[in-house]
Amino acid sequence: MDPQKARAAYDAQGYVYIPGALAGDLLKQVQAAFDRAAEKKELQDLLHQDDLFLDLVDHPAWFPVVRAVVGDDVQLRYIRGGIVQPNTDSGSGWHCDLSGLNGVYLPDSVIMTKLFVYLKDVPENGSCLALVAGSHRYDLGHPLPDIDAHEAMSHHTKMIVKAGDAVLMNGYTWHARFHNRSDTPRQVIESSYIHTWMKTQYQFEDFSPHLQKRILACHNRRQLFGAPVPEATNDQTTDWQRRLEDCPPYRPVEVGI
Amino acid sequence: MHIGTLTDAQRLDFEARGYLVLNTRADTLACLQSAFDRAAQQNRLHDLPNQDDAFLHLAEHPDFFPSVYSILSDDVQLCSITGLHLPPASPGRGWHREVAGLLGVHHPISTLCLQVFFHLDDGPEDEPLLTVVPGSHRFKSDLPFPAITYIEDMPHSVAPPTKAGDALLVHGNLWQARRRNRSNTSRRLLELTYIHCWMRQALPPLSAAAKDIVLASHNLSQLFGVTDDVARAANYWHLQIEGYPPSTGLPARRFSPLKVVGKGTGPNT
Repeated sequence: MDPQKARAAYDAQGYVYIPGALAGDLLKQVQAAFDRAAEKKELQDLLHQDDLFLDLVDHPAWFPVVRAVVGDDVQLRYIRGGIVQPNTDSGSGWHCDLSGLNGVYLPDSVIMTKLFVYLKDVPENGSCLALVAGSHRYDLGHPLPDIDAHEAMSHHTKMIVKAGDAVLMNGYTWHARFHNRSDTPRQVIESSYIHTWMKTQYQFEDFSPHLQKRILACHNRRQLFGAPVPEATNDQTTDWQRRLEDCPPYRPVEVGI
Repeated sequence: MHIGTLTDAQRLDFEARGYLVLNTRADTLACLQSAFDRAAQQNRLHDLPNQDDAFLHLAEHPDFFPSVYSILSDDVQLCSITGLHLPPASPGRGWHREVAGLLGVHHPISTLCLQVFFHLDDGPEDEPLLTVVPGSHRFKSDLPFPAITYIEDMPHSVAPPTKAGDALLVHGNLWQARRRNRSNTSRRLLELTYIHCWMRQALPPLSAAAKDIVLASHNLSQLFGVTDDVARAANYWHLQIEGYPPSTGLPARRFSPLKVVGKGTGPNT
């Protein structure tokens, strides 16, 4: 998917759908690793379960789109797995993740964006993600309507997806997860991307030595995980100034002497 | 909508100009001056929180902190605190915006960061160090600075007069600069940068003694981002200062209440 076209779709709708993001052998490997993590009840800690999950944070099927949307200072807030059991009233109501966040004019900002990668099909009566396209542009304070059921939200779009599909969603977009009335569990890997000037849910020193080594081996992963800049590079870049590898380093503008 | 403890006049001033000058009581000034000198002597102006308790308590100074949290909101936190020692003829710092490097935010109507320049010295009335372009915090982020040679050449700039004990509060998106010290006396400044609790801080690691002081106070613990409460640490997006009227910060606006609707249990038909 062309990142700029994806960015245009995201800007207009508050989300972008990436069909077939994972496919073939890789999809099967991720599904198997996910099942093993679920068996161990470690879906919240995917990164320590299999090397595959680290490779997902900058996977070429979606990372260029994430970068186009968030910017060159992109950082990972978390990656984790989730299962919604079949035939359960397990939906979450309509909400906006960032409501209540002070200090930022959200309708014209991209503070946090979520990536959902589906590992099983989500049928029409499944635990679908649903969104109100364009709601990420609603002004702060725009009230949610008083409705009793998910389906009553006007103008919503329900994401009926296949295993391997992905959806990238602005954290300010109105969304809900419908109840799972199907016979299939919903299995999804959810990642949250933010900016390097924001805090993440991870402390780099809490990662295993193996994971730290893999993260430190690559500039972009160091940035994604807020890992320290190697001392040998004598790089004075602060957390507020980090940028991905192939773009010009940030240089503060100062005018006048 | 809550705007904390700012008076209406102060709120209008800050909204319109992007800065405020506040006078503070004299009783803490001498203590801060001598603590500053000791830290400067040891070349530790970048490590103030570990140099003297006075710098820890300064973060919640009763004469300017109520305004700071009113502007930034209850989730306020301290990003950094440093000292600037500027002998005569010290060079200035060119025109810049503190938040210029922070991508993803529509800065002209956001308030991500607030700097407090606490003045430890009287300067000559005609030689204030800090200069700003009033109202420029509302300028579009891609508006370039004019091509000027000298800081003083910036059109529409003002240098708010300040004296020892004054705190100059500056919106992080305001065009600001520091002029060369043309006076014949040294000038000492404390620069405190306040942000929101979900933003990264740039404080030095606190010593055990400093940590003890901070942990004894809910508000200092939030401001310095130190806690031994695991649940509070995990909930870092939603911290709240205690003991002040609630504030959602400036610009004053209505926010959606955190609300979830439509979670009924009817079948998805």
